Amino acid sequence: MRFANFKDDEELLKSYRELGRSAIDALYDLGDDGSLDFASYIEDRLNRKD
Amino acid sequence: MQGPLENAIELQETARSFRKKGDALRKVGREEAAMEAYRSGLTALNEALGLLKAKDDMLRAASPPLPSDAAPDLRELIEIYGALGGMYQRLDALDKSLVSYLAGAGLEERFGLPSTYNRLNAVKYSLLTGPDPLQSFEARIQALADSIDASLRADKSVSDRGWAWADLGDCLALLGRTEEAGRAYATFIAKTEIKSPERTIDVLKEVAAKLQSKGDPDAPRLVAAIDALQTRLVAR
Repeated sequence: MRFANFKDDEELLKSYRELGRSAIDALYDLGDDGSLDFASYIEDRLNRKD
Repeated sequence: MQGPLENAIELQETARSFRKKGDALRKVGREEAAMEAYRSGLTALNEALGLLKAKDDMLRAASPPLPSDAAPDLRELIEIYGALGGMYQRLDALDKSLVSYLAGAGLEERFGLPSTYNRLNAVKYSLLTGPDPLQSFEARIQALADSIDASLRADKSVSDRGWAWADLGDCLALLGRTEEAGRAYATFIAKTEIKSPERTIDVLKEVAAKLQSKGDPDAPRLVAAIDALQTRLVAR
């Protein structure tokens, strides 16, 4: 799979976001400072529009 | 392209994530960030509610039985009102929690649904925010307990979900039936594999404290029931 196609593939992008949200939720469940910072990092990446 | 219901479900998911984020941040003392997360969750839920406004109005105007194609919208609306109540509670806006729970309770009741989350919380938050004594809610709580009991007997999937047992435990505790409440909570714990019904008992404690501050004659009974339940659940 080429990354150049990633953003053009709506389904794949949706899966990427869902995977990210699942990871974030799991990190919130862990709840320590390191996990929360990592969740925040993933959240920033998911929110990037470029 | 997605319709309003699918978009509302996605917004609910987003709100759930913000709620988890807020809870996690609050737990480590990052209160400002937690409140911001809850406010973002609230925005998502209100947006979801806006998407289903026409369905909400239609359902409130409809006579039971439920129109056959309206079940998914009804289920989602009830979820949203319940989630809104919880989000407002985290933002310490208990009056608004009550308004949300009452709106959800109206739909649960109108169509005789097995879910009692909004109805039970409407009772709890009426007790927390209003002047009426526990005794004035007894008939409603008893009716709720009967309804949950009937659902648990009739529908294995309700029984397996666990939360119905916590709701039943709450009702029985509020009615002063401590032994039966203990059994319901124990089943809840077994079904959900959590250690204790901490959150639901915390709300009951808040209700008990409020009743005590109002000089409600039933307050000591509820306090004793909560103490007995905690002792019993810790000893397991």
